[in-house]
Formats: sequence, structure tokens, C-alpha cells
Amino acid sequence: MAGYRERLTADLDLWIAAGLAPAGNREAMLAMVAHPRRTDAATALVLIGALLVGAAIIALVAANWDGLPRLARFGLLIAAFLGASGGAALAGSRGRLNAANALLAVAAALYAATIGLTGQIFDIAGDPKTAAMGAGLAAGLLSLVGRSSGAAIAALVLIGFGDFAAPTSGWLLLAGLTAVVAARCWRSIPLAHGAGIAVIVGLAAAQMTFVPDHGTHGLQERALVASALLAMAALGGRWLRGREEPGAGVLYGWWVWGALWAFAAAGLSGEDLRLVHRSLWLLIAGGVIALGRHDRHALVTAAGVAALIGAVAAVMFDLGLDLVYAAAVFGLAALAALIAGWILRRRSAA
Amino acid sequence: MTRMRPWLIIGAALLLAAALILLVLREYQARQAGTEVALRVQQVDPRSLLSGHYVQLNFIDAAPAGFDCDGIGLKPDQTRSWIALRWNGDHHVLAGWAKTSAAAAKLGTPVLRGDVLCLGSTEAPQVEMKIGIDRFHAAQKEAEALEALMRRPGDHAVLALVSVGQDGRARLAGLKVDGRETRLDWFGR
Repeated sequence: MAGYRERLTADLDLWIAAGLAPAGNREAMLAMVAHPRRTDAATALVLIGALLVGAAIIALVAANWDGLPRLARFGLLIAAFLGASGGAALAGSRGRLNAANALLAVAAALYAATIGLTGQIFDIAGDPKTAAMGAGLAAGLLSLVGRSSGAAIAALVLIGFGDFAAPTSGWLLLAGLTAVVAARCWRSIPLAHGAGIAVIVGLAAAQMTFVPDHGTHGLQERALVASALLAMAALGGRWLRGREEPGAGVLYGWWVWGALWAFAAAGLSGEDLRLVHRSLWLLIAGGVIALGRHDRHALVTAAGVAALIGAVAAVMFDLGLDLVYAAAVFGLAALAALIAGWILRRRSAA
Repeated sequence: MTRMRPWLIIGAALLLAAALILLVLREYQARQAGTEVALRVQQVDPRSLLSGHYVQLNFIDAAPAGFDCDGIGLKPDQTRSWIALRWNGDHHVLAGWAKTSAAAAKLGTPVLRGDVLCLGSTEAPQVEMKIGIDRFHAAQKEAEALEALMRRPGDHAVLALVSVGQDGRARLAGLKVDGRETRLDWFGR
């Protein structure tokens, strides 16, 4: 795919040929657009060399791990963690923010591994939930002090593991909402992705923890409540996207996925009101596709398409159709969509 | 990145490393200060692809005479109870269990936190003590040597050396197989 500079050059030449822009301004206009960063061969070789050295060190340590005294093993882990953190601080002080971010994510992962391996090295009995939560909190601290989206995502993953380790708890929802705020303040799109998913998963964990389980009906009610909450959150994300808030579009997309997923889950575990559920599912899926097209939002459109496929599959399953019939129905639907697209394209061309 | 931020990163990293070192030191001190008991261990499975090499520890022994084991399984009211031990020649055995440490201490000493699970038949009941320890990590060669030792024909005394702290928590101190001790220490492997 051509970069912005290549596309602009081609467009500019077209505009000059059409007399829309003066040819004398061509070079000055292109000079305002920076050349995309490229990695030269020497830098690439240095990077590969560094990776191979790292792999060699890891292999050497792994080969001698059993032979090392406990204290040495523990010292190596602490040194690796401090090395990654120190590297992040050094990279940050030199303005290499991407390197600092990546190294802090590595430090967060190393700290989590160190917690687990310390228990193993010294045979300290502990519970997995506390270990995961502790590692998550440590990653959260590193992300806050270093403004690192990578460490923040690591924190969300670790807290998520902790939440689902028995007994379940609802901390991921709180962490996810905090990450939403951090993603906005730091203008971080990767963190917005992590926060969006964390809120969905965290909501499920919080419901499992705080809402009493009343069997099948309880599950359906919980899923419907989750769907409604996520739909409202998605509307909020859509509104913020309209105000061009950073990361709002990503949150809008993920929460639409979450709302549709929860709505689908609400009807999969019971007989009651199945027809109403399937009809609403189809209707909502169609509406979401239209909304995604209207908002020019690929993630929302994709959620609608996935929901539509799921709804059609569920209806066919309900009707007891076998896979051959299902293939035929999907094939016919695809053919109809292709023919309609072809007719529309011909009309717009005419 | 502001001038302060790299120092904040270093400060946070040192704090986290110190917390972990402190945890290890406190566990070591508690292990050293505790009362050591020797508990009989049954069944071994010295390998796990994900967790490294370890010896699985199941604290199973014959139920003491007169022990209330009228049903198999963990009774709901037995959870988070206190276990009382008593010395039985070459190792410690279950003396009884109670809801409080004071009540357990009347049955035997030392007392530690844990649950008791009844196994086997009602004619020959066995008890398994759940004391929060379930494995002993060892280097590959050591784990294999322990396994070979325990798989030899004949009756082998496999004892877990457990330190019982002031808080009632059990901490693993080592393993003793046929008189050969493997202790957890700083410089051991």
C-alpha cells in the first residue's frame, strides 16, 4: 500500500495537470510532508543481532537453570527485571518513547514471571489469584510512572487472570474503566483497544461475582443487562467519537461487539421467548450494519455482519436444518448480495 | 517524557524488586523460626511440563483411632479449621482437628491451619491433611533421583519436613526419603 507521501505526490501531479495548483509550488508542498521512516539494512542487522544475542543468553541460562543455586536464580530474575526497567528509563530520558514503552511492557511481564518463579525457586506456597493480582498491580504501577500503554495492557491481562481465578472478583471492570481514562489522556489507541475489551470481560466477571446465580433465567437476565449496559456505553463512545475524542472510536467499536455478543448469549441457554430473541437479533444486526456504514466505522460494520451470520446460523439451527441446507442458504444469500452489488455498481457507473 | 519520569520508573522498579526480596526474606525467617514437623507423604509425580520438576506431596496417613470419620470427603464445617499433630515414633501424625487453635492445642501439638479429608473405606479410614503445600520443586536430576528412590520395591519412608509458624501456616522446609534429606536453603539447587 502506498504511503501518504506517495499518494499526495500522485494527487498533486494530477491537480497541477488540471491547472488547480501552480507547478512552482510542487516541491515546497511536498517538502512539508515528511518522508516515512525506513529502517536501513545496517539498523535491521543490528536489531537482528541484538535479538539473537538475547536468544543466546536466554538459551544459556535455561540450559544451566537447574544447576544454579536458588539465590543465583532469584538474583538473575531480579536483575532481568531491573535491567528492563532501567533500559526503559534510559530510553525515555533520550526521547525514545516507543522503546521505553516496549521495555516497560517487558519489565511488567518479567515481574509477573518473577513472582511465579520465586514461588517455585523457594517453594513458597501461595494462591494463584493473589500472584496474578500482585503482578497486575505492579504492571499498573509501571504503566502509570512510565506512561506506558504496553505495561497497562499487561496489567489488564494479569488482573483479568486474577479475576477469573477462584473465587471470581470484579477488579478488571474497575481497571478497564481506569484504562479508558488513561487511553484518553495518553492518546493511546492500543490502550483504547485493551480498555474496550477489558470493560467487556470485566463486566462479565463482575456479574459472576456480584449478581447471584439463579440458573438459566439468571444467566439470560445477566446477559441482557450486560448487553444493555454495553449498548449504552457504545452510544457514549459514539458521541465522544463525534467530538473527536482520542480513542473514542475504538471504544465505540468494541462495545458494539460486546453488546451484540452479550445479546447473543442471552438467548443461547433457554427455550423461552426464543422467537422474539432471534427476530430482535436479526433486526439489531441489520441496524448495526447500517449504523457502521453510516458512521464509516469498519469495526462496527464487522460486528453487525458477524451478528447477522450468528443470527442466521442460530435460526437455521433452531429449525433443525442440516449443514447441506445451511450451505445452500448461505450460498444463495451470498449470490443475491453479489448480484445486488453488481446492479448497484452498474447504476452508479451509468 | 519529562525529566522526572525516568527517575520515577527507576524508583518504582526498585520498590517492586524490594517488595519481592522482602517477601522472600520474611518467608525464610518464618520458615527458620517455625516448629519443624515431619509428615508422611504418599504418591509422587515428579514432572510437569509447565511447572518444571517437582515432587507431588499428598499428606495421607491412617486415621487415628477413634477419629470422627463417619463419612468420606471434606465436611463443610471442617474448612479453614486447625489441625493438631502428635509425634509417633519417626514422624508426626494427625491427632485431631478443631475450629479454633486453642481447642486443637488440647488434642495435640503443634497446631497448624488446614483441612482434613477422609479417604478410603469406613473399615480402614485414611485421612489427608490439606495444609497449603502440595509440591516440592527440585532440579531435574534431583527429582528423577527422588522418583527412582521412591519407586524401588519395598516400603519407603517419605517424609516432608514442614515448618509450622507462629501464625499457624505450614511452610515446606525440605524432604526426607529413606533418611536422605533435601533441604531448602539459599545456596541449594
